[in-house]
Amino acid sequence: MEEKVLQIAQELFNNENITNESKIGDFEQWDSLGQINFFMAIESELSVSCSPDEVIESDSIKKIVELLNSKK
Amino acid sequence: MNIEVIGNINMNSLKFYMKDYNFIENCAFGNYILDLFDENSSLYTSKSEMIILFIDIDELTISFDELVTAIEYFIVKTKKTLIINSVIFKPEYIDSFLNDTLEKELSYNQKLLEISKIYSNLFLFDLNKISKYNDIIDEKYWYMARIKYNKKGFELISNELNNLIQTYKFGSKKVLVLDMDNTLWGGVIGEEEIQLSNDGIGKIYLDFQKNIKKLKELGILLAICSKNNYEDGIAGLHHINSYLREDDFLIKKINWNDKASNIQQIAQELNLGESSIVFIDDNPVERSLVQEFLPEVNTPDFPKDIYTLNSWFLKVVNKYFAKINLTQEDLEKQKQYEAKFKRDLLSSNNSYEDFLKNLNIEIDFFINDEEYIQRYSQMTQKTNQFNLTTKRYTVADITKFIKDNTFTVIAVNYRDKFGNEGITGLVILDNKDNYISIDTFLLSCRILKRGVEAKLFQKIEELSKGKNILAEYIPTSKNIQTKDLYSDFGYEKLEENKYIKRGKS
Repeated sequence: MEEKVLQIAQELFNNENITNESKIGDFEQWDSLGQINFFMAIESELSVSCSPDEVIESDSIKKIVELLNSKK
Repeated sequence: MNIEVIGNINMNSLKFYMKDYNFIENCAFGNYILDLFDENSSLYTSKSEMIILFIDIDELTISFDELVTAIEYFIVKTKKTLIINSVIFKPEYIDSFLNDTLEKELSYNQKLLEISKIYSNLFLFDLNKISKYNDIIDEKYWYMARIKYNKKGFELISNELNNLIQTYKFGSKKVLVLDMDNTLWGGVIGEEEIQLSNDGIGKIYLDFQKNIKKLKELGILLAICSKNNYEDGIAGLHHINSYLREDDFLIKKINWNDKASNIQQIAQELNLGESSIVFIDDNPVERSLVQEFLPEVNTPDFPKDIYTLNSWFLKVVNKYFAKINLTQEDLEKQKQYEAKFKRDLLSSNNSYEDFLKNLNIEIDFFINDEEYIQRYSQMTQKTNQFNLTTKRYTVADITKFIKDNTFTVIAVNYRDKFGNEGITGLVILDNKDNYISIDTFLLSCRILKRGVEAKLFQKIEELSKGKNILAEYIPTSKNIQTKDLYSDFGYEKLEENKYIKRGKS
């Protein structure tokens, strides 16, 4: 799961330096708009649906992986 | 290429899907109409070459006519290129059930199509095509962030925009360079009677010449590049049936030099790039020579079947001269429009001021009011662009400021004829013994440039009771647009990013 999330993030943000330690605000592209587009991509590519609260609160790679694992 | 996106819904996500372009951040979301009128807005002053104006007709709060006026104003005033989408009432919105939206939709799109033909720097983007796909909208993100489309929607839209931008980049050639023998007429001049007349094969060439003349009338420059004796070539242009005459061509390279050098010279003499040239020649050897030595010159294949010459030429025009592919009727309209628009512009010297006046703006201040503390805190957390100091405060911080006599918290409520925007501005003053310091000054992007700034400065001065007012601009990566705010409002610069307004006492 982590690998998939990282891959989505790297592609969306055009940034290969994203790691499992990355979080919102670490670089310019991942701001609040980036966060939303990140979830749009996750929902579309992993066929999951997340609530607005989940979208807002899961603002690091770790939290997102955790969230997605809990949805499995 | 530098691009800016504006509109009445949040389309900034496009930057994630169109990575070949540099998206310039602006503050135009929700503010687009004013920005189109305001010659000091980023739309006019930034280095963007192209603006994408995205309108969701279901969410349009101004009238469609007002929108069209704003678009026209912008594209007449600036030479930047604007892309506007065709409009579509989405079936899932209630208006589409309750009202007959078909007629409106047709007439709106008719109008957009018309103006996109009239103005060479306005392109129409076909959103109706995109709307035929299923599952391109996600209501969750609409309510979260005013984003209407989902990933699939953005992918489709980006793809379509890319195509349009390619047309814009390649579809605006300026020069048509023509061979003569077996291109402008049938046969070889000087050796035989050429075919150029009102019947038979001669008519094909005559029609071709008439079509070329139309391009010239639309502003395309014509040139000749032909291997003939100069006198023979010129004689062809003086032929009794020749529709194109010698003075239709700006440059005539009629000689025996190789065509690549000739075309290179044409580009130099016109001071234009080779990429703005389209070269038409029936001879494949000449074409491949030019292709090899001048790859930037556009060298379309010539039709093998001469009967298709004119339909082939129409395709060439569509591809390379797309934007000038206009009918005589369009041209007439273009002239009428320009005249009318110039009159209108003259009669109302400042549309922006007019527009502001008609907004019926009402501004209310809340001073040390505890009711909306949550909103105040949220604004300090979320506002990045129009925020002079970008200090983030919690609800507890704000509560402390309000209770503490040494601070004054001023909130602004903005309302105009389109509705109540709510509390959209915040100023926090730190009242020292001998002076006042502006701790926080922020506004929502949605209400910029509507006179709110001036009213707030008035209020601050009123509350300062004659003391000196100190102010600071703390630069961040997002708030560059507020850099000169204090000097614009008459504050004196003390040092880099520090300002003072001297009090009267």
